Amino acid sequence: MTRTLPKFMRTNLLLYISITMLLINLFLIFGLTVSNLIVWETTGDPNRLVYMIFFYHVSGAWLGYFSFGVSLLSHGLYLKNNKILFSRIGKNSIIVGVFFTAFALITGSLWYNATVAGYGSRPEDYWQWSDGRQTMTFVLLISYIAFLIFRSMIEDKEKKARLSAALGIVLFPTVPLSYFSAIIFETLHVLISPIPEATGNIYWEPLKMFMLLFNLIAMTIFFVYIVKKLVDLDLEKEKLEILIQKRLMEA
Amino acid sequence: MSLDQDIRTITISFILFWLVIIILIIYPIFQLRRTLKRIKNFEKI
Repeated sequence: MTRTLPKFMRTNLLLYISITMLLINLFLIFGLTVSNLIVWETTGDPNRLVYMIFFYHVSGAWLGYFSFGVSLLSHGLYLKNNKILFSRIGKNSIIVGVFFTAFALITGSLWYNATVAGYGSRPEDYWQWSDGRQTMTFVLLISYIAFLIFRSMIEDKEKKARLSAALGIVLFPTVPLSYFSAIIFETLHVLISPIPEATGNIYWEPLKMFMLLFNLIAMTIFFVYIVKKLVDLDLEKEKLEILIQKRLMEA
Repeated sequence: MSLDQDIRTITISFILFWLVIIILIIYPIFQLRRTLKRIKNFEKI
């Protein structure tokens, strides 16, 4: 598999590109905020630096959703073509997705806690079960953690790949449910709004949107690199398993 | 008060973000190295 891949996939180039982009963005976030070129001002909650969290929180959530989307596609392709590589891509995408969804949930809770006074909640509050987005994202995270536990419990490789592909597809609706929960249900979640006066929302400012997009691209490149590395790791682990079985048979 | 809290929240979030990135970079590298070492040892036997 490695030999047929283009050179940039065989080297660490993708990692270097993504890390450089993330560092440039980090520098921009702080630089532009300190020099007042981007202002974190929303109606009813003016001049709050905490809104800087927006770039990382949204990037984390994006990568979570994107990873689960890739896993859906890979699991579908596995069921169609029966190629184990797709099953591995699906599983490893979910691992990356779980990390970033957990990150988005934690930063979301911290953000909520920092702006809790604006919602009329207690200062020690980090969680609001009545919030559609927070609760649905938690359900999404738990579902995919359960997927990983379930997959690790099956011994037979073929059975493991087939059942986890089916489960991966069945679990996917939790992703759109998590995304649309902030639109369908009543929510405290901040949204990106094109209207400057929209209360509590982040205004669709071109500079902020460019920086967000830049971060999203960097994160997506990072995702490709990590999934490739995890797939390579699975391949070597399988080689080791075959070798162990061979030695056991000889003994 | 809110500025202190904002700085604290941002610091925790940014550290956490880079921690996740570092873990995801390091984990496959070390595991791969360990697995390759074990393969090499098995091949020697």
